[in-house]
Amino acid sequence: MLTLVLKKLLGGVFVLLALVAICLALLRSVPGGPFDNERIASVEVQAAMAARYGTDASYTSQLRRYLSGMIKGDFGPSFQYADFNVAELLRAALPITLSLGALGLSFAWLSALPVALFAANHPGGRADIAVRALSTGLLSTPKFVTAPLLALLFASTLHWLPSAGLGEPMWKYLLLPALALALTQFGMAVRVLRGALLDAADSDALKAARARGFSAVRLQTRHLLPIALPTALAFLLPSAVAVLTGSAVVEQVYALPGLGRALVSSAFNRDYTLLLGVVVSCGIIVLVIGWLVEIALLALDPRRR
Amino acid sequence: MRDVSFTRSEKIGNLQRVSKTLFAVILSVFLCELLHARTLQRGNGPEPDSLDPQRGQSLSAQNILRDIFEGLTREDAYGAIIPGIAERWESSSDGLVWTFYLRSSAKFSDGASISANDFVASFARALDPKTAAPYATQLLVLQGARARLQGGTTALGARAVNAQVLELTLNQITPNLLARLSLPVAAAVPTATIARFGALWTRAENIVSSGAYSVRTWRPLATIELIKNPHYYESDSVAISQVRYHVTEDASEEARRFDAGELDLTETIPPGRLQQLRARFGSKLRVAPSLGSFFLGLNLTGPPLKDNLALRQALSLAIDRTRIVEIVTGTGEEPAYALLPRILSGAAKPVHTPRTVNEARAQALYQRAGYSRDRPLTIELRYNTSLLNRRLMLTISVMWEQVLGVQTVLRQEEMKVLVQNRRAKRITQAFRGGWNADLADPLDFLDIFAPDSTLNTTGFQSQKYTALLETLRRTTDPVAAQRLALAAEAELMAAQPIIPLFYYTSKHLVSPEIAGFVENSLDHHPSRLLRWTQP
Repeated sequence: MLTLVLKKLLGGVFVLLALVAICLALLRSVPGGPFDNERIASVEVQAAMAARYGTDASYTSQLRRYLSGMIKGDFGPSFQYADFNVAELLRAALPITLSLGALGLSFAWLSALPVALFAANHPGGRADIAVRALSTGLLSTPKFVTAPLLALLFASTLHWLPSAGLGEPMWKYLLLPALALALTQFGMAVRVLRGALLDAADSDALKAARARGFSAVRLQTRHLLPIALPTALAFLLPSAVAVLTGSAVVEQVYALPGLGRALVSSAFNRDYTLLLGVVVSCGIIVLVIGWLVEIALLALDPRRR
Repeated sequence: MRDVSFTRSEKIGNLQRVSKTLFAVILSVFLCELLHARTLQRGNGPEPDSLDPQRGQSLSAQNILRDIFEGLTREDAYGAIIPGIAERWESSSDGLVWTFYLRSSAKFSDGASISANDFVASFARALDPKTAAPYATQLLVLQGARARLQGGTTALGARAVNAQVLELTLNQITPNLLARLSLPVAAAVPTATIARFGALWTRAENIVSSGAYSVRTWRPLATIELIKNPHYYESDSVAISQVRYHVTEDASEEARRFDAGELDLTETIPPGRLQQLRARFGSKLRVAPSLGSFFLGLNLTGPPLKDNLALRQALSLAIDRTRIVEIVTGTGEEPAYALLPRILSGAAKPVHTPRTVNEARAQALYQRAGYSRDRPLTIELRYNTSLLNRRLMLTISVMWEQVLGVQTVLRQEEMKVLVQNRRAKRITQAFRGGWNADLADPLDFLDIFAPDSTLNTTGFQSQKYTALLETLRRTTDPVAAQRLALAAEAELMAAQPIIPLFYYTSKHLVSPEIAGFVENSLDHHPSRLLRWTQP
């Protein structure tokens, strides 16, 4: 077990190092530098900027400096937002993206479960067809369409929730974006869960349980779900990744200061340090979720141990 | 019968109790009032790059910096320069030495007096290469400033005669000195606080400001909340006690928040025609001419535009500006045929020439340049990604095609890439250009095309132009200055390094509950000048 954990940790560190090295190389190869600003009028000012942030250094020395800082938790100063260092910006943005993602995922999967159960219990029926049509519709509607539509309905027309930005209480401002994120995921979750439930219903284990004459409720909760969930759980990782990438769109639409927004603005501003910080954070989140899913699968499914 | 009369001490005790209760009631009412004091909600575009007045460069930073910092001079609601921390000033007969008399009541937000020494230290910091102040160039008129910016230790032309009197010595006569001194880069900064907190000095918990407001909270990429600075010398006349600036990166999202009542004042308006927007927003829509010029830049250092004035003129004449402002931009812009906005240069309205005449002239010039419909010009037109730019460039390429038969290759680039390519002048041919003024001064525009300017992306060079600019820089008489500015502009346009298209307008949505919002050419609207229509 210990070797497995160590292997996973070492693999994770390697992935992160590769991520930083590739990202920095890509950033440097993209035309347009952080201080290619329309309004800087003098050569002296441009030179002072480059010296201040060390952008005139070579790739290897930049990478070395960045990695040695990263080990100490220092991601360097933001090129674009001169008053903050990257660690602070990440600290401000992470809770927002994590709350948004957690809310979106919970909305999607928790509401998908009863719907999928219902559809799986009536396979091929009208309800099943309707559920499948709904999930396909939601899955194929991009977030940049659903997000503004939700804002138009619940904020601009009904005035139930704020239309954008972040204030107190935070949940009010996160509700609509989380819903926008959840809709696509709901579509996916329903399909995955429905498939897993139908497979589980056909399994020998369930047939055996049915033969023992258990009640419908007991069959579903104690036998059907434990067989179906591990299959569905394996989809939680891609779902979490989709939420993370999708939050970039949703955060833009709802003006939420999360990681997604930081990613977009840092890419346009060539804010190397902030962009690397966001990439590393997202990398860590994906790795950790991957590990958690694996642990959960090991716990749920004895065959994997 | 019980005696109900009070003894003297009891009376005093009662009085004290009554007055204590009254005081508590008044205090709680006051506190409630304070807590519920209405906050002005302002849309402000992208996250400001810094709240350090010497390092903030973006328009969004400048908006907030004008609220929290102040220099020797400042602007009134119309954009005119008025006394700021200096209550008056005088200059020597040669115009090279200026003496500023500071208000004795001027204080930082921590209550410390603002002295002439603070300004000397502030200017020195702005010109220190370690500060890397993007606007440091505006202070290069001070003696010794350029050497300082290059890392030297030359004496700077800023001296505190005493705590209240500041003397500035200039390299040369600078007619727009007072306007330069109103910019955030020339504001008084708390050097002691900066020394104490270093890079962390602009944090809400550390920052000490010199303007009408101070910073209460700063949530990066979301909001910055300001509160009235009680030590500001004119705090009594500041009507709005709290202001919250919101990061609003998308114009449609900003308009949606305005519609939902979450914003009182927006930074811009969503795209659309003026008529439709008027129908949607009515009198809340405020559009006015501003000091911005949109043009196409032409690279004079390489083919096909180098040494081919006739071709450049033909390309300019083939574009129908009136149609562009009516069909493409559509928010009240004025067609442009020269660099300087007319509200700045005072130039007369250009005489209308029928399209057919312009097109015939364009075709004749195109022929003279060596091209024809059978042997058409192929030209690259670069622009930075935006919906408006794409529509504009497409329209222009169609006009060139229809009038001259020119084949245009449209190249869409990201802003940073375009800036780099324009500056390098290696691969550019025609490209999107433009300028928004920092100062209401023709030189702010004309200086872009000075031979040593890094903003001169066209490669335009003319000795006559340089000489005219040199004279203009030293001309204090406004009439003579206007004549010189127009002459310099004419010299520039004769070489046609740019194709002016239109002059920008400022566009905002303003809640009817806000009074004191005055459209001005620089589009500056400090919160201290705004107030609620119903207190």
